[in-house]
Amino acid sequence: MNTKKKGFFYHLYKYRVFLLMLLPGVAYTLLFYYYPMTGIVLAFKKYTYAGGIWGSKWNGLTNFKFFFKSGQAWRVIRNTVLYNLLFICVGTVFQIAVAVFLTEIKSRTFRKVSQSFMFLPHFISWVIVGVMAFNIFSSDYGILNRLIEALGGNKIPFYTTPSAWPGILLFFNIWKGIGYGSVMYLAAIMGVDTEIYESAAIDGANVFQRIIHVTIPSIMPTVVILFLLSIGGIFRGNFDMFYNLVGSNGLLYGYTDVIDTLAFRALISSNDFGMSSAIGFMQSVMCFITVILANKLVSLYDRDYTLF
Amino acid sequence: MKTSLRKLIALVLSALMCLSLLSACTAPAGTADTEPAKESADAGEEGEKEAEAEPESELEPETVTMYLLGTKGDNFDEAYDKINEILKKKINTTVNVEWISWGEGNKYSLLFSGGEDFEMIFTASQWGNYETTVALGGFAELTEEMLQTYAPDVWEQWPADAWTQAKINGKIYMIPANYVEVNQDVVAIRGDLMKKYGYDDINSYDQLLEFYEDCMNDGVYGNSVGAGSIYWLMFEHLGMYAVGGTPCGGQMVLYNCKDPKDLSFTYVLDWEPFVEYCHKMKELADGGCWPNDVLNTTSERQDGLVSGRGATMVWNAGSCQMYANPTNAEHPDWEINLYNIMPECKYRATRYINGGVGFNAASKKLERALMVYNEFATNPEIQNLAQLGIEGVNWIDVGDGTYKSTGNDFGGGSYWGWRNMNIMLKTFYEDPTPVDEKVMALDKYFKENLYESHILDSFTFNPEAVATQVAAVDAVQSTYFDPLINGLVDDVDATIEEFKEALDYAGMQDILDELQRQIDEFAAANQ
Repeated sequence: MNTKKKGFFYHLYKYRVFLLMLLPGVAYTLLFYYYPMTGIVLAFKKYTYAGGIWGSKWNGLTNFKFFFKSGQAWRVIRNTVLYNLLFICVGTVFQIAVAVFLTEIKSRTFRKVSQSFMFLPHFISWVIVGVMAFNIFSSDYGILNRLIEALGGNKIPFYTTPSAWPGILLFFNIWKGIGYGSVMYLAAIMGVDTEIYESAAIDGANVFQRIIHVTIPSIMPTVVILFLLSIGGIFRGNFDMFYNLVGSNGLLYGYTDVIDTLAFRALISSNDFGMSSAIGFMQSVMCFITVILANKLVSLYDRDYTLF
Repeated sequence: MKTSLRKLIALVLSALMCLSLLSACTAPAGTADTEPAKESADAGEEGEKEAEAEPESELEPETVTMYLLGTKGDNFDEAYDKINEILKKKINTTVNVEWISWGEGNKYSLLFSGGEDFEMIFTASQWGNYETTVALGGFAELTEEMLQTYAPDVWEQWPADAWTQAKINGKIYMIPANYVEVNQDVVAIRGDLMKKYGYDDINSYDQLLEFYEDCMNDGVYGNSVGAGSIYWLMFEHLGMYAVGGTPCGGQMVLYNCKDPKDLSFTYVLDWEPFVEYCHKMKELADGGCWPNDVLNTTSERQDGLVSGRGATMVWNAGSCQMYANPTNAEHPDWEINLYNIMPECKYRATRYINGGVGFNAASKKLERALMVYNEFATNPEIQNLAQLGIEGVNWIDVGDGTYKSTGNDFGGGSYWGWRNMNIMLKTFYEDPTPVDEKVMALDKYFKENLYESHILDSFTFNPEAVATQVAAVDAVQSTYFDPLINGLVDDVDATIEEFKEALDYAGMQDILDELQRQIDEFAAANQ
């Protein structure tokens, strides 16, 4: 009976050290994730400097109109989702492959060096990547076209050939994310009980069989959780990447325009805070719904794999 | 021992991380609130001390913060110390200058939305955020009474046109600089190539296109950065000009500036010369008059000419001169000079509102800021310090209202907001090159042949009522417009048709209707 009475304050006191350790994280989350969320109201307001976030007048759903009026809403939503699915699926496969290979490499030095090299692109900003891409694909000085010419072929005008871009964007996305993304899987593989490998070896499994029957199944929960987390951003185009690689080249938009680049073009000259918030809000809602649905689907398969 | 050392290091590091986290939480809010206040307090104390010594001004000491666009020049602080000495004596005020560099344009609107404490900021119609800031209520309205009281010299000296141009919905929100120039685009052309293809002179738009064809056939880029600037020459040589404030930088809606009575506007997609132009550009682009990746290039207008990849550059005379002179010095055989391809035309002066100063609506020191502007704009001493730097160090007065550089240029002193033609010194050319001579001749020619002003010169479209449509049109236009005017589309006619449909869907007609309404209203008010 007494234990029941030891309520909130008792536990607060009992776990004070842990709670204190938790405090910075909670403060950080509240301050930088929850407090800014109140700014959502801007999506429904006609923003003025004098009124600010709270004092500006409400204007209903007007801020959302421009996106659909542009006539390109369907195209950019489709592009955003397809690109993200492509990046997530292909990216995951490559990242797992890299993680598996790295763990199988026996030479410690070689493993460390190759991992560092794969990690490096993560630190290069998309602005630089954009410049690098131009120097690879441009028609006059591009390395690739120079090479094709030297080998006797005809130059490929990449910047006027939209269909080449899904491949180019995928390549740079994989290249930039592979080292960073594989770290999670590496950690997961390290967590696998080595006894399982030993017994598999005793049973006569070779390296490939060990990978397929031990490593991959063991890291599956991690894979699913990371997949679900990425699904949470499926309606957000990576603006840095698309804008820096494609720039304002209208010829390529059919294949490369995503929600974020469209919103940027539409609003950069008018500085309209309300309309920008409206787009951000819309993306958040769509992402939220997708994540809930995906999580539900996963739970039908195996409850242990879900996020919540 | 080793482990305890490690533990110690880990402890110290985690403590540091926590600290930096906490400071990151508090720093932005803290600095924004306290720093300006502290500065003004400091300045205030200084001011009081000096005010006792200098009884000339009876005003309370005050610090005024002014934002400029660009980057600080070398002797900037020294020059502004001198300016502050003068201001202190006359109006007991210190000016504190802050900068927004060219790369961080977004900061402009953040200053207002973030409630930054400042009084004045450089502004300009369109490229300097004037209209957008007014639409969001960022600038204080300046009444005639206020201007007469606190900036009397400016009010007296500035021409009526300047104020008309600054009006939005009948109200003034900026003080434009008293400065107009003819920024007519000219073409800098390689003399050696002209000789090679048999040209003595290039003096018409059609001749320029012929020259481009010759370059193309010779395997030289006519203009290595594409046709964006040639498009402007096309409609300007036909006597048309962009209607200010309309989408796409005004490039899609033109008015006839040859005829002051003609208040109609032309939507380029329905305009035959536009279609012809797009076809011509496709011919040139297909032939290799510019690289097919121009839409992605980061090259600037001058890059092709300077590097030798292109035969021409198109820009105003001053900018062409700035690049032609050093390039000629490096490659004397190129013989670059400037050519006016529309000699039979009349020329337009820039609008006064192409540069000016806006005043923060949230500032409580508006009166003092106006007084400061009055000094910058009408006191020759301050005007020279802000534009040229310190006399004797950066420049020398050579009489006749001209100055000579000492070779140690002041540079980077953003002074465009308060330029005053009546008191500014002009450049003295000691040993003019052929390019310098051409620039002086062109400048004289342009100024002698200014056209009678058109009522729409001063008009700026206010997109507020059709904001949704403007955003939609902006989202659509870059998909088609730039590829079209650079001749990079497969089928010109089909693309124009598609473009039209996309714009109609986005609400272009609403924008044009609203434009007509505003023009009628503006004409009625200004006739």
